[in-house]
Parts: sequence; structure tokens; C-alpha cells
Amino acid sequence: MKTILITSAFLFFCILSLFAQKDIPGFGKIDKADLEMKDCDFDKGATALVLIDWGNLYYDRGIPNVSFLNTIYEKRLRVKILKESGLAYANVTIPYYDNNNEEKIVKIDASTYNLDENGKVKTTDVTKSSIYTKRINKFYSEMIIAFPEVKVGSVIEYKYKMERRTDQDLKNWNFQGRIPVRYSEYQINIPMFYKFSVNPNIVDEIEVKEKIIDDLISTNDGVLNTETLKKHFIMRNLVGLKEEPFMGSVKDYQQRLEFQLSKIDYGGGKILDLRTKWSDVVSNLMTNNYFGKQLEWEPNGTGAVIDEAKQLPDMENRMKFIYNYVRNNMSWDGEETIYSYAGTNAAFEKKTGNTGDINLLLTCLLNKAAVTAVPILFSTRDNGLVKKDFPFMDQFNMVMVYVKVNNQYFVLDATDKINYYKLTPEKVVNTNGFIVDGEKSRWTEILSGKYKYKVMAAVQGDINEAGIMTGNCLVNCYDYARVQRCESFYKSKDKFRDEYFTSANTAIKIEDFTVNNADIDSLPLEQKVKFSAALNSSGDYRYFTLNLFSDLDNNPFVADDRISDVDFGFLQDYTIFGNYTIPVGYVFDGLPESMTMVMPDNTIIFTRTIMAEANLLNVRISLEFKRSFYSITAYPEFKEFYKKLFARLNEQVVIKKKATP
Amino acid sequence: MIKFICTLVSVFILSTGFAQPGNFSIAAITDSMKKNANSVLREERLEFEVRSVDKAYYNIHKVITILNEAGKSELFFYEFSDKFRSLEDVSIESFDSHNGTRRKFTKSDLTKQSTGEGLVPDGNIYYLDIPVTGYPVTIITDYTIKMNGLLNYPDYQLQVPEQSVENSVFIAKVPVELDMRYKSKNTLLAPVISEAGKYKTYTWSVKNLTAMENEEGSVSVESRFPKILISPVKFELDGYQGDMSSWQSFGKWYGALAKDAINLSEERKIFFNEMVKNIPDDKEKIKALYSYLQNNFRYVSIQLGIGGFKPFSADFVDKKKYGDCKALSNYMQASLQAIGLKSYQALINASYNKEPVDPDFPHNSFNHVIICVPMDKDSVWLECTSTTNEFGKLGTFTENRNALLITEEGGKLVATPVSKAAENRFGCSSIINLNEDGSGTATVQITATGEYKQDFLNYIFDQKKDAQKKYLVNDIGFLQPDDFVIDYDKENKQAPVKLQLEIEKIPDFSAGNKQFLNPRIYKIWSQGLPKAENRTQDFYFHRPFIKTDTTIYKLPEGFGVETLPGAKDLKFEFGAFKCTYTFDEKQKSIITTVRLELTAIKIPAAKFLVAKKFFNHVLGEYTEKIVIKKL
Repeated sequence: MKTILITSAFLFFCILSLFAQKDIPGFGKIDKADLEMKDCDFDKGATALVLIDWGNLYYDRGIPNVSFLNTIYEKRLRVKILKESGLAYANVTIPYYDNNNEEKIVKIDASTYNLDENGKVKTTDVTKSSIYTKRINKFYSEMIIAFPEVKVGSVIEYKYKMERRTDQDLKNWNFQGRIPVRYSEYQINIPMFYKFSVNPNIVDEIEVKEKIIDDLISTNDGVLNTETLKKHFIMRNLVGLKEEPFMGSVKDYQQRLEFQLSKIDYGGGKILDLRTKWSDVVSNLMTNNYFGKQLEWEPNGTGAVIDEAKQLPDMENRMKFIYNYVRNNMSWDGEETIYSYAGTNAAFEKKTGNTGDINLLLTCLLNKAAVTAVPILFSTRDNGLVKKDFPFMDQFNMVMVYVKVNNQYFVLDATDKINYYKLTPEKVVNTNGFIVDGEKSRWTEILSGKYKYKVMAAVQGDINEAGIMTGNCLVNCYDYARVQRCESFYKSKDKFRDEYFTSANTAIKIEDFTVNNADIDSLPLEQKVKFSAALNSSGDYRYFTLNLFSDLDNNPFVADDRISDVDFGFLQDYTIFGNYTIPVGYVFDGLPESMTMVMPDNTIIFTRTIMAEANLLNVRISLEFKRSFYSITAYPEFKEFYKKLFARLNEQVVIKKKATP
Repeated sequence: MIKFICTLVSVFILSTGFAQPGNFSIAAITDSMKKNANSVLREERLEFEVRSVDKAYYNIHKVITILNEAGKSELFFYEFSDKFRSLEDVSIESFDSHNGTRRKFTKSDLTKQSTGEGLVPDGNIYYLDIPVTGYPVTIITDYTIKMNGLLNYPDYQLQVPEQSVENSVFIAKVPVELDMRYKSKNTLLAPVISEAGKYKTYTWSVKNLTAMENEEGSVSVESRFPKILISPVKFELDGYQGDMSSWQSFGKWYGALAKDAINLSEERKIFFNEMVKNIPDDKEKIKALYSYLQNNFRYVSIQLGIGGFKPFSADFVDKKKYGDCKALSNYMQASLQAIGLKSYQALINASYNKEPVDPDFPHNSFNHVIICVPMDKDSVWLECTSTTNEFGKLGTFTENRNALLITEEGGKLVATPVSKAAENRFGCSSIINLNEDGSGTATVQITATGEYKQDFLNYIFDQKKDAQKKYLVNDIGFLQPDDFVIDYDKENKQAPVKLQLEIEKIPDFSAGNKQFLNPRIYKIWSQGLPKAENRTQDFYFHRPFIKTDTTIYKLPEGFGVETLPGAKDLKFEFGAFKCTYTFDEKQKSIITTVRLELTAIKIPAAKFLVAKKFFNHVLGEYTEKIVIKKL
């Protein structure tokens, strides 16, 4: 830092808010119209509305012998409570990382605003006694503000200043959240010797202002004269986010900015380049004690397994052997991570670990047994999409293992007890992974290949004079359907039976129920059911549904408005065969028709073939998907198709006693 | 290759070949102990030792074998600690039987997290999710809880659902001059009592209890399973001494904690008097104050003070306009006192499926406070944490219970009101204009009181349109509308709710020239009851109720009726169901009516089968179709 000009030993206070906040009223200056407001005009029915969300980040003097510069984060939030259920937004919690005092909240002000009987704005300040601190765990604490005098219609507002012992970690900014936001502005002030890269997730209009100013920053060694980049990001009228069926991750739809330090320019041509390219990310990872270093040694006590594996000449078998060994001996603690914090040695000794521990251990053992394996980084579907153009490590949330043998590739996750090794784990299939392999590191699209979510059911039902159907059903679930059902089955056999076999049709009585192959991951999950069911009737008519045991019970796509794409994750394939007999003397009075129905783009095909002869009925119903992803723009047709599909699935077979002449 | 196959097999099939610690081999578990069990308590020794009126040690030693994934909850170790309770000498060991892995954990392996759903910490929870790779697995747990301040003694829960017990012992050792009290619940087990020197010892022990099923819809586990309630005579918490030997004395202790909390300023007292000065009737006065509380205050869970027992003062709540149940109840009491009306705070154990506390055994199992205003006839009960409850109505959360009134003379146990069907009414009437192609429009009006009104407050009033639709379709069971308009008194959030529905397909299905219509366009009842065979526990509904419906289908031109379902009139001890179907030839309309009443919230186990049959008939009614036909 020596080459940076230190202008004076005197203390200067630099003026930070160089632009006034022209667009927004100051703290405590309340617009009466906001207090009179009844509903959010751009997101009707919202429970609360963020009127102003404002943040400012700048650099300031560090702590002697600890940090050269600190960052200061100022935040202000003003919220209008619109509904009873929005009152919860008046209980504010601000988490901060206070391990070693890394973050500290130094100033906090908060007020509630209401209209009094005369229509005047009444301000109630939050006193110290209503602000609490709560330690969450070793690393985090929370500042808690319980706003007084809050009812529906109130506006609450708070601001605080946070001192952060870091010059390299910028606060990210979320423009959007659960409730709508009318105005959101983030301002960053970065001395020019720091360079940050920005990873934006922005769809709507954003206003960006930028200028470079001469700045003075006090340090422990005097005042620093530097040029500072001032940048404002402003967004307006953002609707609240909500969870929707098959949406992938809410995060993918949350408009936000993420920052990462990329460069420090010490002047005089001395530039410290940090993680600006994927190759830098890789070399960083490979020298990291919790990642690359863990791949170098052979964990204590694994020699015997490696030797045993080496006896297997076929590489695929060898890989399978080690994969099964690791997943049967290591218990996963539920944490999805990239790094092995405990180290593979300690994890193996304890026989437990996070994803990093277990999958790096697997990588290591495979390599020791001469199976070429490398780590692959993922952002799981629940964690959101990755952006290939932004070399940010924190996009990822877990590591798996990428193996190429016999010209095929496999993605292995040894924390998963159910998944067959050939099947790409459900949480990452059809996403992009980043292979960490030295100079050959690269992105790759991880496809499902021929594997699908596949359910096949065969029903045999005999109806007697009394209107009781007795029968058998065999359901086979393949690939991803197998994985999902096994997860449920392992949790509770009873709940599994209810979930898949009785909940949709309460008239069904299960007389015998067996499940096979739950422990053999290469085979489909076989479920055999013996059942009886009383047919519904009206007058002379009796009727029953053909949609039995298919797992297609409720239409998940009924919402009129949707904000997200539909992402099933994999292709789906359902087939139901039915064979029914009706008692002698009865006839089919009404039969659902044989038909085919397809999505306008031909990617979903529903067919039903019905053949009735005398007292026999033969049915084949199939539903096949050729795509796993539907963009939001296709939602109207998609929703319409689903509505018709479920109407068709719920059609009934009607039988009636033959009229006697 | 042979070797390879063997390995594959052995990793997938759970073998029981590995040694288990001590005498806890899996093979030693008898079949009768495994029946209905997801885990087996192999050995338990619980030692509770009271040293003085406010100090005690509780040593816990447990050996549990978990048989399968469904017993997994036993792998989650957790204990609370706060100012009065600390956790010491923790040792947890696990033994995986299928591969012989042993793991050991101590207190430093536990995660510490502050507790309290509310804003401010009540204490900490220590927890550990014990990792395993398969089942069966045996867990040996040893730890001590040091108590510094005693209000509750630990109860001895002999058994939990789906767990069998090989051996369990509970020993309570108390100084003779303090002694203790106990009461057996759902068991006849008696202690062995001995005295040596300054101490008196009570020992309960059990062996070979087979697992009991977890029956859905039962009363809460703690009041249902065999248990010994244990309570102090004299106790002390945070320097406040008390006596638990009678409800009266326990109430006195509680009253003393709150005695300074009623401290409204003169100005506020005048404010309340002004508010009610033109209201002659006492009940109406209470109503005015209660509605002031509901409109201006909100519930915030802040548990401060001693063990969450001491309320925030009325003055504090007045300024902040928020509080927890104690603080808001105290405030309500203070405002009533300001206008000269006497009221009592009432401690209660809240939740729809809790049993009333045992009048004969004073014991602290309360978790909530409400207000009781004594009147000449029928006291007025007030739930002060709800901004939406109807005045004077508690709801099944606190009805049917015994509440401990905190009076000047100490505690007094009284019954809260019994839940009444007539207070929870759901009434619906619909007119449906059917078109020839099965589409149609429906005009629906729904009235709701009591718990149904609460449902509307939670799911309809103020909600977004998509959320309203979701509730109508998924919870009430309406046919999926393609478009709908909803209307109600938005200012006062009041039923009736008026709906105008556009539905593309009203018949359940069509066959040939016939259409099959449901008796109405939503389900009057949709809950299937759990299995009734061999039920041992009473079943709890969430509310008693009266539901009524009238539906009129106006048929399209040229259509006539082929079949109408037969009328029904069913009764059982706790309910009645009646429905009719008629065709008005002149109006070309089908009229269906239904009335379903449930008079009690609790169905005794012995009568559950009858109840289940009754509700199966109710469910069955909806599957019967009205058949109409183009003539």
C-alpha cells in the first residue's frame, strides 16, 4: 500500500453522501398518501409493501493491526403494512456475522408512523428497550426491533450502520423479496484500486448511474487520497416473489446483484489479480486446503478397500464397488457443501461428513484405485441456476464426482443412499456442472440420457353383482420415479402406501401390499397390491375411474398467474394398462372415448385406447413428455393442456344392468 | 467375480453380524418387543435428585436400538438450557449394527442455538443429529441436567408411541423435609418408597412393555401414554418461593409475580372511562375494551422475566402496543380494572387436543394465559392474543379445559366453556345455471361463524385472488372455476362471502347423452377418518359444527332427470346428517339440501367405529351422482 499517496496526517472526515437522495424522502419524512394507501397498485392484495429500500456501501478506516480498511454498510428500509398478516413485517430481525466482531451494528434508529384522529402523521420512535440482540449461534447474532404502535395501515422505518472488518467482501443486494418493493436503491463507493465484478440477476428495467470522484479516506496511517467509483443501482415497482410448483429455485427469479472482488491495484503496475477467470478459480481450488489438498493423500485405513477394488478388472465395476463402499460406510450430515472442512481423513475416521467430505473422499479413493475421477461443482436445482460467464465460486453449493470410464461418463454423489450409479442425481440432472480438472477444467451439461421418471401400472379388476371391484395391481417405478418413491418408502411404509395407493381414492381398501427391490438400486421398484373397492352408484348406474394407482391425482397447475418457468427436471412417462370384467347381465352404458391429445408443440402426448367386448374392458392410457422444461411464455397453453388432461383422466366408466324385456 | 457379487449383496442387505455394545445385541430383542416398534428402549435409568428447594440434578442414561428409518426421531438428541437449567457431562455413542461403525460425541459436538420462536431468546437448545449409515443402530446416551431454580419436577414418561421398553427405572430422591407429590396417569404402576437419613427415595421400574401404536387424531402424547406426574410441594424459582400442594397456593405464587404489572397511568384510566361512559351494560363495556385491544395491539412473542412467567407491565404494553399472552392479558385486566370491572387472569394448557388438567393434582403444565370476567350469569372469557376472535368466544384452542384463575385468594380451578356446534356454522346456498355442453355459472353465498369465520379470515379475506382460489378449490373442495368474482364486506371483513363462478365443466363426467352431476359443486365433508379397528384412544375433531347447504341446478333446455339419489337421514350419538334431492318440473330445477352436524369434539375410542361409519356415509353421499339426460 506504500505507493498510495497519503496526503496528510490530519484527520479528515470525508463526505460520503455526495449525491443527495433526490428521488426519495429522508428518514422520518412521511408522505401522507402512503399512510392512507390501502393496496399496492402494482401487486394487488400484497400483505405489505416496501416503500423504500436503500443501501450504501463505502470504505473507511480499519482497525489498527487488524484491517487496513473496513467497509461500512448503511441500510434504510421503509415498509407499509397493508394486511393483518403483514404485521409480521413489524418484527424485524437483522442477522449479522459477529464471529470475532467481523460485523457490528453501531447505529440504529427506527420509527412507526400512523395517522392520528385528525389525519396528522404521528411518529412513534422505537426506544432502546424495544431493540434486542439475540445470539443465534457461534457465528451469527441478530438485532431485533419490535416496532410499537403498529396496526394495519402503519408505516415502519428503520436505518442502521454496520461496520464490517473486511475490505474484500461487498454486501450483495436483493432488489426483490417476498413482498413487493416500490423503490430500491443500492449505492457503492469503491476506491479505484479495488476492482469488483458484478453478477447481476436482473430482468426488469434498472437505472445505473456512475461517476468517479476524488475521495479522501482516513486510515490508520493518515488520509488516503484516491479516486472512488460511485455507482447507483435503482429499480422500481417489483412484485413479491412466491413459491410455485416445479419452479426450480425461487432464487432464479429474485432480481439481485452479487459482487466479488477481482483485483487490487497497488499502483506502479503492481496488480493483484483475484479470481477473474475460471482458470483462476480452479487453481485457487486446487491449492485450497479444504479441497485440492484433500485429493492428494490416501485417507488412513482405506488401503484394503483400494486393493480389493483393484482386483476388479472392469473399470465400471471397480467404480461401482468404491461408490457403494463409500455410500454404505459414510453417513451424510445433511450439509450440502463444496469443501471438506473436517478433512477426508477425519471424516473417514468418524464415518460421517458433509458433501465435500464424502465426495472428495470418493474422488480420492477412485483415483487411488486407478479410476480417473475429478470433482464436479454444481448449483442444485433448489439453489438456482449458474451463470457460466461469472466465475464466482459462491454460485455453487455442492460437489459431486465426475468419472469417465469405457467412454461413458457418470456423475456420482455418495451421500445419496438410493440412487443407482448410472442415474445422474435428481438434484442436478439437466443442469450445468463445472468439472475441476486442472487445465482441462470446463463446463459440461449433465443430461438425463435415457433415464426418465417412469411409472407403469397394470390393473386387473373384477366387478361382482354387488358392485364390488376386487383386483390386483402391479406398479413398477423406474429411474427417477424409483428414487422418489424409495425416499418416501424409507421414511414410512404406511405413509408410502397412503400417499401412492389410497389417498386419491378413499373407497379403495388395500388387502395385501408388498414392495420389492427397494434395496436393489438397479431394479425398478415393484409394488404389488391386492385391493377391493365399492363402486359408486346412482340409481341403476354404477361407475368407476380408470385412473387408478397412476400417481396422477391432482393437477398442480391451477394458478391463473405464474411468474416462473415449469421445470420438471427430467422427462416423464406414465402408462396404465387396465383389464376389467363386469358381471354378466350388465352392459357398458358410457365409455370414455379412445383418443389422443397433444400439446400444441407436440411435446406432451396423452393417448387412451379403450376396447370393450361383452363384459370385458381393455384400457391403455399413456402420458409421455418429450420435454422437461416449459418456459413461462408457454404457460397459458400448458395450463390449458393440463386442465383438459385431468378432465380426461377423471372420466368414468358407467355400467348398467341390462334391461329385461 | 464371486467375491465382487458377495460384496454387493452384503452392502445392500442389512446384516446383523456386528457386535453391539454390552448386552445389547440385536438378536436379543424378542419378536414381541419388535411388534409395532420402530425403536426399542433397551435400558433406561433416570435419577432425579433434589438437593434443596431450588437445586436439583437429573441424570439420564438411555440405551435405544432404532430398528428402522421410521424410528429416526430417536437419532435427534436435543436438550434445552436456560438460566435455571444447564446441561452437563454429555456422552453419546452410536453403534451401527450393519458395518460395526462406532461414533462418540460429547457436549462440544452439539450445536448450540438460541430458542424462542419469538423475538427474544428464552435460552438455548443443544442438539445433534446422530449420523448413521443404516439400521438397526444402538445409541447410548448419558447426561446430567443441573437445575438451579425449580418449578417443575421432571415427569416420568414410561413410554412413547411405537417404542417398546425392555427396562426402565425412574428414581426420585428428595430431602425428607421437602418431599414431593406424584400421580399415575394411564398406568397403575406404584413406586417403591424408602427413607434413609435425610432423603426419601421413590423408585418406579418397568420391564418388557410392548410398543403401542400411534393413533392419528388422538389427544396429545403426553396426556395419552402411561406417565407419572411428579410435582414439588415447596419450590423456588429466581428467588420467588411457592407451594404447589394446592391450586390455591400455586395461584398465589403466580399472582405475586404479576402484582406490580397493573400500572396504567391516570390519564389512560380516564381514557378508558371516557370510552365506556355512554355504555350502560357491563358486557357491552367489556366488548368495547376488547375491541380496542384487538384493533390496536398485536401479539409478539417476547418471553422475558423469570422463566417466561412474569408479564410486561400494562404501562409498557400501553406504550408499545404489543405483548405476549401474559402481557396482553394483563393489559386487558388493567383496562377492565380502570373502569371498575373485576377480572382474572387464567392459566391454561392450550391446543385443541389437550386434556383438561387434573383438578386433584396441582401441577404446572400451562402454556397460555387468557382472561375471565366473572358476571352474574356466565363469565365472559377473552382470548387477548387474537385480533380476530369474536368477542367472548374462545375457540377449541382453550375450550373444554380447566383454567387456573388467579384471584386475590390464590388459584381457583374452573372449567372453560364447552365447545358448541351452534357456534361454528357454515351455510352455503348456490344457484347453478347449466348449459348443454356442461359449462355453467354458479352464484354462491356462504355464511360462516366461529372457527369457519376464522378460516375465512385466514384464507379468504384480504388474500390475493390466487390464494382465495386455492382455498376454495383445495380446502373447501369447489370445482375448479375458470374465472370467478368474490365479494364480501371488505371494510369489516365479514361473511357472507358471495361468489360468482364460471365453470367450464360442471358435471363430474358425461356418458353418451347423460351427464352425471355431483350433489353440489363443493364437498361438504372431505376428511377420511383414520382406521377404526382396535382403536384404543379417543379421537379429537378440531371443532364441533353445523354445516348446511342448498343447491339449485337449473337444467338446460331440453334436459330432464334420469336419476336422483335417495334422501338420507342418519344419526349417531354425536351427530346427524340429512340430505334431500327433488326435481321441480316447472322450474326445470334440481334442488338438493344437506345438513351435517357434529355435536362433540371428542369421540370416545369405543364409539369411534360408529363415527367413522357415519362419516363414510357422508363421504359416500358425494359420490352418488344426479343423472340428467338430453330428452
